[in-house]
Amino acid sequence: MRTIDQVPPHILTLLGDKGFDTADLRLAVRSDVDMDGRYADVWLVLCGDDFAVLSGYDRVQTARKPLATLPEIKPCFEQLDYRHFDFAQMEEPKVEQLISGNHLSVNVGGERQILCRFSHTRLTDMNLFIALFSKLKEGGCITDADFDREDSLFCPKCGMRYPDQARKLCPKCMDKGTLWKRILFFFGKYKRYVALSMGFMVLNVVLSIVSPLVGSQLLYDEVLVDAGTPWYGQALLYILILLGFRLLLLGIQVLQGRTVAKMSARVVYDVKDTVFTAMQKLSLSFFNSRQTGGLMNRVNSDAQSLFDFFVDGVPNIAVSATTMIGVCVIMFTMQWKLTLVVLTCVPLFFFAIRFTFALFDRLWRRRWSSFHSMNSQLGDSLSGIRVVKAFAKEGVEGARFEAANARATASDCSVRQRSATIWPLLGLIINVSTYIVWLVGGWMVVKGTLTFGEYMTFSAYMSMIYGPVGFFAQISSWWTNCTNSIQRIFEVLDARPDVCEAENPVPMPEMQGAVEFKDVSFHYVVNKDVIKKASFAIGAGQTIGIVGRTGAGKSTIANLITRLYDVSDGEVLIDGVNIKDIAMEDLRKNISIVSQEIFIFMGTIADNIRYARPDATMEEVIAAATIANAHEFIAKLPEGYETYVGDSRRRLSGGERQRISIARAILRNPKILILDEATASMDTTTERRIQEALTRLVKGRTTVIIAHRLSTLRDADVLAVIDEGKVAEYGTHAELFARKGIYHKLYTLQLEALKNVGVE
Amino acid sequence: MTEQELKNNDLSQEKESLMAVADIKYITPENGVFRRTAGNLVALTFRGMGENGADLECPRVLLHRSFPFTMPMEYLSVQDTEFNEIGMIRDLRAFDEQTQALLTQELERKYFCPEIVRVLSVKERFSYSYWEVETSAGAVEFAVHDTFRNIIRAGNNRVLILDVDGNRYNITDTDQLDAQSLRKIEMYL
Ligand SMILES: Nc1ncnc2c1ncn2[C@@H]1O[C@H](COP(=O)(O)OP(=O)(O)OP(=O)(O)O)[C@@H](O)[C@H]1O
Ligand SMILES: [Mg+2]
Repeated sequence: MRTIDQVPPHILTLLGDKGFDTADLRLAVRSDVDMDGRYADVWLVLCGDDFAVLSGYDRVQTARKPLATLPEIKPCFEQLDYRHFDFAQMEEPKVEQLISGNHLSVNVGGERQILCRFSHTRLTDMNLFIALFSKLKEGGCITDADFDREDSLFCPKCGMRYPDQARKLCPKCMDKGTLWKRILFFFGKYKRYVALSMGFMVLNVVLSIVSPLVGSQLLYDEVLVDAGTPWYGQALLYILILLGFRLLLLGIQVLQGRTVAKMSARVVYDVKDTVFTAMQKLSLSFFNSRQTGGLMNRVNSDAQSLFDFFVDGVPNIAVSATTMIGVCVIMFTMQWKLTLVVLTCVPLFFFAIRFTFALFDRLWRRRWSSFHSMNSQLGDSLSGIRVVKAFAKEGVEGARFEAANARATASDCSVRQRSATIWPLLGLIINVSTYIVWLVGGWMVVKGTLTFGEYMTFSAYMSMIYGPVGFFAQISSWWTNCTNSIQRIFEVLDARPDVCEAENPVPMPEMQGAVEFKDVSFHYVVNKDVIKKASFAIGAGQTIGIVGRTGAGKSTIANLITRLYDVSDGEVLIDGVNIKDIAMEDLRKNISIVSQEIFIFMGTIADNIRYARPDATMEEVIAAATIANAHEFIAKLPEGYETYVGDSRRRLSGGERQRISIARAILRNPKILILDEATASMDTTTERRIQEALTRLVKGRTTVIIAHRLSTLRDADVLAVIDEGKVAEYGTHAELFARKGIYHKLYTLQLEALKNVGVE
Repeated sequence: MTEQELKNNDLSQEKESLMAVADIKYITPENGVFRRTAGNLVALTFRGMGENGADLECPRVLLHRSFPFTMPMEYLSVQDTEFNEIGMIRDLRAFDEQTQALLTQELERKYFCPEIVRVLSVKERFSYSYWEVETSAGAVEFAVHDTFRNIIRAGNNRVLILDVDGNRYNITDTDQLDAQSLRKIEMYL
């Protein structure tokens, strides 16, 4: 028999001691906070008709970790508090969501009582608990189907809590290899470049490794020695050879760098493109929970860090590894004793570099975040400059910026100061080890066990080893950062839109335009219904007016008709077909909305009007603008339809923006037109003119008009009054007026207001 | 009267009229009595605020802080179960000790926000950071997503942390933390 949380045996024993019939265990859930606000283990258990709330400390498991991951310890429970209830007397269990704690309350004998407190972590379980509790109360039976939620909040492998419930992905156990494989997929297109750069890389390494042999040993042991060797006196020739060698190496390095840069830039371009396209497809709720600007910035910087890694990192791994191995082999064959001396200093250097990078990673991040907050502070006061000036607050803004600036400067200073100290210290390690080699090597040369040329070559090789060692010391942090970036990129790529097209969408290129709401409920935030079981119908070609208090849910209804969000319960039908089954393209093509929050894109006015139908001719654009009463003011602008608007370009008045967006909507020629306070910022004459033009246009079209001003709704066939998410009144003007309800009140109020103006 | 005084006078008058227009109902020790119900909830009798000047009886009231960070005990909004405001408490400290204790406990439950006293470990895994801390309410582990948005600096040294579930944790003064704890969280500040 399944309960919500599995009750461990020692708790069952404890309950048995209190006289519970634990064989008849019906429901059990665990909370993590006791009544005094301490983390504890609180068990709510229903056995038969007895209900117990048992709080205390469980010595084996806590509510935040599953049992499986912990070693076996003899369980014991330190009891703090125990309460007992009669199930028959408990009514109306309710989760009360507070700011950052929650209550589970219940009516016992008509008096509301708090059963337990719990943190947000337990919210899902508690909601399930009250659902099942109510079901039992009504005499129902709990079946496995009641538990069809995703099974666990925790990773089955390591017991770590999934950070993101929507994506069951444990960062610890995640297959990082797959991540890299997926990113490599982006390189697949550029196989030729990959092969080319590999080739260059091999050449580069080989040449760098032999270069000291040519450069030092040849010079000192063959050229600059006593007469008699074949190279004696050929200094010029030798220099030329050396130069040629250098040029060759340089050429290869340049070619390699260019190939890699070209390839990586293209890959990063692809990544950004893919991410942005993926982001466009996501539903609004994804953006609601994140900062959009920040998101795109992050994608940009993540793509940049990928770029750096692939341009600098990956080739360097190969180059460094081969160089290091090659150099070591050569050094050992030349002089193994001296090599050992060199290598003793290497680990010291390695760990010093590692430490330094860990430190700087922290410092740079702090610097980055303080600069970030300084910049957003600056952006904030600049974009709000009108308000700042209106209230004469330039001084305050200056002071605020100064504070942020000071913080940023301080963190910047600390980074720079430390790096000014640490890098020379690291140099010292290299210097000291060089001195040691000079000492030992010099002594060997004097003793004659080493030629001078060998000695110089050896020194050259020794200096070649520190680069790769330093590189490998920092590669792990680099690697981690880059894996993080990749993971974040895939977070966007993998996010599933909540609103997605049905598998076999019904094509509806030609809609009639009948809309029906059937017991629709909807919430933006869990447990806070904005629309509550709303039902109403709009006939094809009808005009419906929606009124209601601010915040009643009018715009939300518009969002549901356009399917920007999916309903949480009930259904929205268009021409009798559930909106979830209709092909997205047809839906979008047939519905136009002028929303309350108008957005004007960067571009010309013509572009803005044509946004939804880029193929529209200019004649159509002008016609749409004329109907929307926008033509008049556009024609007066010096650049006419080619005036640049949006962003911080030319400012349009509120009514002008609304008219452009109306033109945008009607150019689409939709079957269903939604006007959400579309004419609210206009004077009544202009509104009237637009409406008259619209009535001719909207013949045979379903029109939804949302407005506070009742005069806006005079052409509506039916009216709906929305109150607190419900359809409070529905009918024609005459019907509603006769009902003497909310509408009647609203109407008389507005009428009176007008009369008063007339009197004065 | 000097010009300055005139101006001041003007301002204070304007302030008064603003208050008069808003007409906020303040609950004071004189006109309001809070008490605990049998079910461990809070009830209020608001004198003279009912119909025709009768006492307004509210079997259950909820409290809401208007300035949760800077003035946790002042300007408390007292609401009924439908979240409509019944009145405001200007300063809780004006009430007797018993009432203070009662309402403070109620607030503490609503704004459950353990104080972090020691940071045991902070680990970064991808864009999440995993915290293991000791708080005033006991030891706890939690995960934070998007540390930029969910670690909030509220005031000078005060830090508020929101975990993935929406739980809150508070550090009143980062300077009061021991050096090791501070070093672990330094980069988020
Ligand atoms: N994206 C959102 N996330 C969370 N809550 C939201 C969101 N959008 C709206 N709400 C809330 O939903 C409720 C209904 O909002 P809606 O925009 O539908 O009201 P409205 O009737 O159009 O009001 P108005 O007349 O002011 O335009 C409001 O309480 C609002 O705060
Ligand atoms: Mg609205």
